[in-house]
Amino acid sequence: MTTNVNFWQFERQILKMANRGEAVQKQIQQDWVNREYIEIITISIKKITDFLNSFDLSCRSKLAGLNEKLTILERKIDYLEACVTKGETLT
Amino acid sequence: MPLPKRLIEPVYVTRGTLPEDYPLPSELEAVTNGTLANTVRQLSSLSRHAEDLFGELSRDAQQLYDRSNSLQARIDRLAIKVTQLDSTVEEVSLQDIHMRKAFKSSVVFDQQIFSRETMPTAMQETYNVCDKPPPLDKLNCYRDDGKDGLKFYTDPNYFFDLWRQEMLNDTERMMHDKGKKPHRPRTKDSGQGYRHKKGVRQPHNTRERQKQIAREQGEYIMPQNTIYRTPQQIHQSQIPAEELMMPQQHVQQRPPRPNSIEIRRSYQQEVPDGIQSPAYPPYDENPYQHGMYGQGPLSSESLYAGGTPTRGSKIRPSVPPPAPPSNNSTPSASTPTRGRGIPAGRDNLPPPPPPPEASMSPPPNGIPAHVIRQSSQSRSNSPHSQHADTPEPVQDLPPPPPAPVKQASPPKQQTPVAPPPPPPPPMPMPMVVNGPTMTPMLNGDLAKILNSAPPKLTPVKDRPMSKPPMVDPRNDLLKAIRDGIKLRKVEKIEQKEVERGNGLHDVASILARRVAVEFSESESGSDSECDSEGWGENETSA
Repeated sequence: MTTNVNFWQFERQILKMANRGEAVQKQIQQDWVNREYIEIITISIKKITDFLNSFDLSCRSKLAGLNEKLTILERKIDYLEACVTKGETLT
Repeated sequence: MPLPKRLIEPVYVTRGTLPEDYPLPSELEAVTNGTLANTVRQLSSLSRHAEDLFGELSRDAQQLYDRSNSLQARIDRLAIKVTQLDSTVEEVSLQDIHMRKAFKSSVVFDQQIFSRETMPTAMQETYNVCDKPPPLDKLNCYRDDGKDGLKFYTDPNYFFDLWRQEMLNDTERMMHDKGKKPHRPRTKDSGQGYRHKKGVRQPHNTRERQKQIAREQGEYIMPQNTIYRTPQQIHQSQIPAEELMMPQQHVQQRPPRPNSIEIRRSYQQEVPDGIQSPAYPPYDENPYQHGMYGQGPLSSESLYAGGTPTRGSKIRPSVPPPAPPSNNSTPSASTPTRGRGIPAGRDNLPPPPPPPEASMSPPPNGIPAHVIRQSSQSRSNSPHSQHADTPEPVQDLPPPPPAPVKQASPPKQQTPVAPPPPPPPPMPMPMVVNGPTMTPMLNGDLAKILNSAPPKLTPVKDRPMSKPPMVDPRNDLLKAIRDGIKLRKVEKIEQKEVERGNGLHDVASILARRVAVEFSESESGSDSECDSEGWGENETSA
């Protein structure tokens, strides 16, 4: 009888352990899933950051180009205005 | 070391997400939740930075938009203005040209680009997080040398001050070196001053050389003349005709040239009509005859192309008769049109000329008669009333004319010479020069030409009107030149004072000053003196 009892206990323990292992496994798997999810989010954040940086860079370069052209144009207009206007006299 | 402009926080998303003091049913979930929370924080930080980024971009774009708008407005205004421009209207008169302010570009260069003011807000936040420097400035009261204690620890302006000091010292040294040179000649009149004068006189020598060359080979001094004339001509807007005449005159008149240059200048100023200019060359060859024929450029040229005396004889018959009537008519009723008066005279007078025409008239009478008539005409044409009286005696002269052309010329010369003097009063400088230098012949020729030329287009009344304005510009020019020299010196002094007064804290101004000093060192050192002395010589000579 004792042996039977022992056997049953042993069997129960094994089952318990198996259950626990499954639970841990599940937890770990779930954790991995969560981590993948977070990874996706962070990667997206990085992508957004990269895009923002490149966007900022290209925008600034284009704006700088425009600024340069505007400056040149302004100088040309300055020159033309000086040519066209009669200019103020000293008296 | 790169300076990140924007930092997305938190950086380590998963670290420290597990609270230790709190019992957790599932650690993994706790970590996952913490990580997620941090990720959301990152996202918020990211969105804040993105907002800042877009804000900066939109601000820059807005600035560009405003600038382009204002530029568009300026362009529109300019377009309207350009359409209103009239090329035929003289834009700047000679009097006004030196009254004008020089155009000054208002371009502003960006300075101190990497200062604390221009720091982007994102970086400013990061900067504010940094530890502040130790308050060493609190120890200033214990310092004897008055220096700022904090600057021994940190001084953001250190390198700029270093650079500024270097640049200022450089410019100071260059100014000093440059200042010595001009001072030496002024103080020491003997040695170096003479050298400088030599350098200055070069242009003068070249002029004389050119004059000599012109005398010998008949080269043109044209460029100089044209330069002088152009302003005046512009006034009258007769440029093309005069320019055309100029070369011919020069070619034909070599010897008188040097002296005549200035004379011509003055006379041409007086003479508003450029049309008759083509007739000038013939005049130069035979001043008297040409003057007579000056009425029609074409006719005069054709006539003069051949032997002048014979042609003169041919024409003479027609010419002499008109002379008396023209004289009578012209003086009384200002003769705007000489040609008309002459034909009328021809009709009336034809009888008298015929006898001499065949043989007698051509050599002696014809020429003198023409001369006389011209002189009278010219006088009548000329603004001066006194000359109008003279023509009568001239008419009487025709009989004496039998004397050779040379004799006839003297009266002419005298009469024409008389007209030139009148201009002198308005223009003291040029006149004085002309008087001594001028040979009677030249003056007579010029006077003839001038006098003869105007009658066609401009009535007598117009001439006097044109004279005064013409005279003024030259005087103004001389004044401006003198004043300009003075002004420049004054400017230098002022600049020095200003520069010494205000410490230069401006990169652009320092650089501009340095550039100016370098340029002035290379150019003004020689040019200014040359100019001043050159002009001084001219003035003295004039």
